Amino acid sequence: MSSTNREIQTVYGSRLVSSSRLSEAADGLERGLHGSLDRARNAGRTSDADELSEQFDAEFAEFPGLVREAFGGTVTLLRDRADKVSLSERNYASAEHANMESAHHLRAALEEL
Amino acid sequence: MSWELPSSLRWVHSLVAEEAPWPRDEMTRLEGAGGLMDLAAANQSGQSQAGSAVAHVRASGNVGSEIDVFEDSYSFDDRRMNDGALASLIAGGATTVHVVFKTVWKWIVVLALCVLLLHLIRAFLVNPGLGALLSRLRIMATRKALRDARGQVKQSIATGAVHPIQAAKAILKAMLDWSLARPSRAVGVGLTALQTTFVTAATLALDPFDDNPKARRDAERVLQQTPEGRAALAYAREHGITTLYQSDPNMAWSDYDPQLNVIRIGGSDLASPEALAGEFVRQVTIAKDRWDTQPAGDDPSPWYDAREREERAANEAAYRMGSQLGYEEAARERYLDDHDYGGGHFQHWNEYEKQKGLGATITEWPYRYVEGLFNDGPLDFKP
Repeated sequence: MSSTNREIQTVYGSRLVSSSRLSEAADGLERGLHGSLDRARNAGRTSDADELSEQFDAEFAEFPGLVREAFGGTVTLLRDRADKVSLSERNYASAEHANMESAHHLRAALEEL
Repeated sequence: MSWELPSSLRWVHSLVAEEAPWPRDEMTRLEGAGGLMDLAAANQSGQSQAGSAVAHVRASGNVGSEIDVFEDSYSFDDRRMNDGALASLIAGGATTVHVVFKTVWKWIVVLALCVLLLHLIRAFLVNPGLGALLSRLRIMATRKALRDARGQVKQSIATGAVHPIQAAKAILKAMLDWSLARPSRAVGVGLTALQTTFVTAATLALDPFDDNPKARRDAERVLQQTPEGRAALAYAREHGITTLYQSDPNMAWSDYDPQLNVIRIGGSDLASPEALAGEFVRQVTIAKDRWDTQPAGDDPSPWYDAREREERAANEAAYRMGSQLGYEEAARERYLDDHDYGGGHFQHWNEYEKQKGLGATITEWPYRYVEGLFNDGPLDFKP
């Protein structure tokens, strides 16, 4: 197929694979977030107050919240992307089906003549 | 779980306990650093998985301009995950640096206590009559030395761990309102912070922890005002040059280290932002030349001539920036009329000659914190 003549050509089912992989990636990210964030919080928390770490703790206090928001945003983005991919698969499938149907109708009409 | 004070030192510790806190949280914090690294790994595996999911659409034989749109729109997610991984990595690294410095602190305490113990024993052995007075003086000297050392460790934690955390937070914040700020700018900040932290223990000539962020901000604000300054900033950014604004009082001995790709600008505590900006432009011009740190071969004169040419070009560039800023006369006076202005390369060469190599640095640098404890010098208490 030449690059100047770019018709849309879809392979049935291939998008569903991508979609499932994207949502798997989102799930993995979410699992990682839930599993590791609690551990990561330890980096900034101490039982006894300590002069050497005061400043570090003050800066770190905000960090886990930011991580959760930012990573949560990424997870949502990936899920959206996966949904869109499976939607476009459905679109193309139904469009193809409709085209086939009208072609059948046309042929039937021609054969009747 | 953490490193406990050796029991034989407990008694001595009680004499200076106020000045020698013994932190016990490093294992918990290391656990936290591991968690942060895991977060980075989760982002990276998500990135590669999503990348393969996107590539699959093309690979399985779909064709069309609609796929280009799909792939393009994905690149944003890709960068987002990249930034997330980077932010977590920086935070994990910063936590580790923090733990390292707390461990260094504990080591300093142990060394100080050993030295104090030896002195106390010696004081009573040498002169039992004066032993009480001598040991009292020694304890006070140790307390002062520990207080000073603690200040230095705190400073190192601030530069090595607190600044990177700030940079990591900047990245995450940029991710959260991506419509306003491009994350890649924050990435630059984060990488500079990391580079500043880890760039080298190798050269005695360069202290990566000595950097004045306020001087940097002010100088860069001035640089942004002129075309010459903007060009210099862009060159430094494109070539990954790290700039340190250091407290060394002599700005004329600022230099560019081609091995480390670091510009060191002195006088950041004293000089005006305009002067620092001028020096930055000078050093960037010199950096464009990528000079050798020492003369090659027997005849050093070509090397010196080349250095003089560089200094002239650098002075001219700084003069251009100064006159674009509107200080034509002052810039002419400083950079053009004074023919001997600059000379960081001589300083650099001298230091290169003195440099003892990585081994010496590793064995020597912790003693910077405790050297007062090993001689009866200025740190001894004087009534």
